Amino acid sequence: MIIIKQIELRKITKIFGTLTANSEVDFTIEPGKIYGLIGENGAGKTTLMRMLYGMYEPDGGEILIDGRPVHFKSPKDAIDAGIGMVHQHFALVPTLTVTQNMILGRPIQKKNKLLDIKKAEQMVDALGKEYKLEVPPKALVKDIPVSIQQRVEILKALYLGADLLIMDEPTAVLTPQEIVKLFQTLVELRNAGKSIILITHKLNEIMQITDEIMVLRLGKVTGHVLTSETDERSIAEMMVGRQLNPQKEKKETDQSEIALEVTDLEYVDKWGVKAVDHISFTLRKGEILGIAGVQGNGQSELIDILTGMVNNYSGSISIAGKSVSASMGTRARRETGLGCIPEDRQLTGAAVGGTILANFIMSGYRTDDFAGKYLINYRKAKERTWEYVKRFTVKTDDIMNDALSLSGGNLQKLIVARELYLKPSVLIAAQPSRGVDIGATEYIHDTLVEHRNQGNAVLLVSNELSEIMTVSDRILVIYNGRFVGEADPRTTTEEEIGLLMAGIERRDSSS
Amino acid sequence: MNFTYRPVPISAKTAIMAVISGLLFGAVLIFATGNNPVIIYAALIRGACGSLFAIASSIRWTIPLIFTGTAAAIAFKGGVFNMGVEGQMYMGGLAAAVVGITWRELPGCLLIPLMLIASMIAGLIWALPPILAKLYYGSSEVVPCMMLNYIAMYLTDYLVHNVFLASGNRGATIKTDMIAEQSRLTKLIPSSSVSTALLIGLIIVLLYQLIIRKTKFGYEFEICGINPRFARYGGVNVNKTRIGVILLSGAIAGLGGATEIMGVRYCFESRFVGDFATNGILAALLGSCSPVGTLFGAAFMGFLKAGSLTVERTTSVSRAVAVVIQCTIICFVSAKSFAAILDLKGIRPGKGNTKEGKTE
Amino acid sequence: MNVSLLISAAMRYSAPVLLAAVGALFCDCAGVTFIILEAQMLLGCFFAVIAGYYFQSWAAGVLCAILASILLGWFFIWITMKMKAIELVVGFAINFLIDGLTIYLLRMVFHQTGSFVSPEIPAIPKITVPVLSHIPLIGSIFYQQTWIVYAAFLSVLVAAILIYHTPFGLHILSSGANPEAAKAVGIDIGKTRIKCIMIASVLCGLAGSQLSIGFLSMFSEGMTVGKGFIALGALMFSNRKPTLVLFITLLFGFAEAIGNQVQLSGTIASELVLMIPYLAVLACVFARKPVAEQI
Repeated sequence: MIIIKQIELRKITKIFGTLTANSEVDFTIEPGKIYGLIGENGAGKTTLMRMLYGMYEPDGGEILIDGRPVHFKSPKDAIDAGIGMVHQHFALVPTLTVTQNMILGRPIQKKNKLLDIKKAEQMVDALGKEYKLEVPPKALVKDIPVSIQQRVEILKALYLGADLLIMDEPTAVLTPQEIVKLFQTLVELRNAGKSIILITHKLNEIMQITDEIMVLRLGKVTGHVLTSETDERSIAEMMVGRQLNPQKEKKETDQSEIALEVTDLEYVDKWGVKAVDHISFTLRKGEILGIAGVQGNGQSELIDILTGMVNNYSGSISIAGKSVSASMGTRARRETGLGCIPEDRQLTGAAVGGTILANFIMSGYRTDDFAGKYLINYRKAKERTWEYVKRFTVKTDDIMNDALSLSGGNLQKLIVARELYLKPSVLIAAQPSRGVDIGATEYIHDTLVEHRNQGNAVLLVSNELSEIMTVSDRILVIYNGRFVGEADPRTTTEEEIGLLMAGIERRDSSS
Repeated sequence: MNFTYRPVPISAKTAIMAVISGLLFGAVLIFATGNNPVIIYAALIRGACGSLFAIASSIRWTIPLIFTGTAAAIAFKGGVFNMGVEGQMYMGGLAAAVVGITWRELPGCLLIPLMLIASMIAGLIWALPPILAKLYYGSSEVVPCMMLNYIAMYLTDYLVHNVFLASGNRGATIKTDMIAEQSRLTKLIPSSSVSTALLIGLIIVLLYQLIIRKTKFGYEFEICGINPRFARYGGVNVNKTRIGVILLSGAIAGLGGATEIMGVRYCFESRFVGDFATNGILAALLGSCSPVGTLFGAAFMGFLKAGSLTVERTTSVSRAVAVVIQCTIICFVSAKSFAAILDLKGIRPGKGNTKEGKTE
Repeated sequence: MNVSLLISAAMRYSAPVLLAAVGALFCDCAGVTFIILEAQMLLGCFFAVIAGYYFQSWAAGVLCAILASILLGWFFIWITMKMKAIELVVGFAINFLIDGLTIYLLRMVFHQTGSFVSPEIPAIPKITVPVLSHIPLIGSIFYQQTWIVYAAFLSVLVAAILIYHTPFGLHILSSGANPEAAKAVGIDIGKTRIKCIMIASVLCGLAGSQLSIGFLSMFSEGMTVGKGFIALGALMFSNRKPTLVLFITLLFGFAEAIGNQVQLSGTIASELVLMIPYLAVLACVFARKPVAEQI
């Protein structure tokens, strides 16, 4: 095994079309250290690491290992050089077993060249024990929880002989308690002489565990400091490069009327898992109700049920006093005054490949505003689209352009604009700031508060605890398809909610 | 396997490159089998537009393709890969012929609409099973469509052979009696096969244009074609829209069968569809499923067909060369990187990579 | 009805479809939308007859059929992977391209229209397995079949082992199920897919040879009559299980064989009999448990 002494990235540049993702980035990695790579969404962190992992080739600059330049044509070269990566969206094959996934890159064979699954399973067990990362070797990946999937990813990289482990946003899918456990593992790996690069946009994590921190903004290095010699505040300044705006003020609203009432929802998904388990809650007008939880605890299913994307559930829903039957489709529900900013922009929230106009009029094309019984008044529709595109500061030259031409933040603003066009009395906002830069996030948060101030109800579903804490009036915590607690953001702490998110119920006031 | 198809706009450059490579491949093939491509292509152009007769011939072969092309284009645009146009056309043709033979005594103004309606109904019934398979049985529509093509071919043969065989025919050729005089479409160009079917075809194209440019239904089915999940989330009943789309597609294909019989053949002949369906689908793909694009695509395919017939008549080259040229063009039309070969500098920085760039 | 003859015929009818379906299975698992099976079989049919006729050797015929099929596979690879064309569209176009091309070549090179029949076209020799063929009833499985028929049934076993018990199989499955995961451990997805397409090409070439010089020793225009799509149908219903592929293609083979026997008895019109395989596939579609499309 080659033991890496030092990896050096020298003046690395990467350009995608008109976008410079990385510009002359220098980064030196010594063994036995944990590095933090921090920056806003779109700062070029992942791109930089993908070049180190051989997934992209740099347009300029070079990578040196122990002073010798190397050229990674594919991840295979990087793996051979002792570099491993744990991807944000795990690079696992869900339909294969844990063992099959582990040996994908380097098979264990019998003498007759067939796979030796038994021996491989023993290897997985042994390796798991060695690094205290136990996984079930025979289980299918799609059947195990995300935190275990992450362990498989780490083990897989170690099995392939990684001395440098790149971890891309590893904490996004974990509970605070699982994060603590992960960090223990990382520290042990470091003590064993491995180096680790932690890509993140969360300041507290990086302060907690790293030895050195590198900050990227708009593809450029804006800071490279020792963790012991810095604080969160200066890192934040390096990240954002400006002062953050104060949040829009929440007005006193009349919260006496019920906007959305949900009783005893139950839903079993196609794999037979009870994804939503007896959920009941009420959402009042003039209120933002935040639903906190680790990804994959039933939030997506709950949203699908509310919006009518899923119909085979039991329980009752009433929107603005009108009862909604399970068989009611998406359209009928929207007509009761429901709007939704979906969690997946590309898959559900927009038709990329269609024009901005076509994307915008989806909410309003049935209304009298710009449609008759059968026809759409496209002249009026264009006027309206321009009006909203301008009001919501969506950056585009022409609304007849493909929605694909919009950046993530602008597309999200277009979606928000569309959903607010009908002034829904109940607005579901799922992960509204996911993959969006800080400027757009602030704008979207202000818009949600403004919508609330006008006396409408907002259901905010997010994995980002900080988002939930700053925007919501009231917080419900979801775990394993059930609500396990309720909290007031003014009186509670992140730690307290973190415990609930991990399924540890409070004794005193569990609902 | 992934059987979803989303129409992609085709740049003029790509289209021209594809046509050139198709013609080039055809030329190589002609040369390889001992003929001079220049002479053959000259004959092809002469046969397609060299005289009034040639132009009439091009139009004659374009007419059925307008129907099959529009049928395919509508389905593709709505996200349904309707490869069953052939079967729908057979059924439509037979339905029209049967009506035209049975109710001979009806006046033309009644009989003609009746035949057209019958053909549309037959076409849309034949389009129904594939979409049901797709929506409710978790199957792709492609295989059922292909199966129904073969079934329609044999079924119409069987029905004509056993029930509607022309009187005095012992079964040497499988065809029905002639349809009533008054049910035949008026000729637009005398002593040619160009009839008012052309006008019906153009009306269909116009309607298609109006549907996608003006109506709610058009907006809905276009969005269903681009991203069905988005459509559903936005309140569109995707299943209903898709059924509507393929029924429309099937009806137009059936209508194409009827007009071919009422305007050209005057009886149902076994295997009359020939390559109308495939050429129509190719026309739709060439025109990236837009109404005008498909019309041009159909005209181009009709032009090639008329020319190739002259080639076969006047030279020793088989008309099958046209099929080879058409299909080669389609292969290249969908090739995104193909036009980039022209840019000698290689891949320009710019488009292409932007999507990756946005993933951070 | 003669059961032995029926089994023997069913084997013969199933073999080409089975070969194509196994080829499609590889491509499907690797994530390639590969619908040019029909074209590859037809091209195989054509070249098996032509080369067999020219070289007066069935082996040359089979070899040329495979080579032609591989060449077409390479064209598909080039245009979809290098030129980034849409697999479905190209597949569709190639199917008709080869239909036209064989018609063209038949007319231009052999001056024949419709079909090419000659006593000088060699046939693949039939093999009778000595002992096994004497077993009552199922003995007919081993009686007077070409080696391609046996190879077809063997290919199912090979596919089952290759896909589900070898490193290469893991590469295939991961390339199909999660290309990003495959890429991340350094698997060359392109190469894996190319290998699968090559396997399918060889199998389709064999299937074409069997169709043209395995039984009738002739070529006729469009003689594959949708067998490639029937193979796709079989694959669709198999959930990627090799044994199910085998079972379903045999079912289709029996449907066709029974139809032909009935036709010989003269009670049913030939047009209806010809419909049987297609109806069988369609019946399979609607016989399954209804599942709503996931969108």
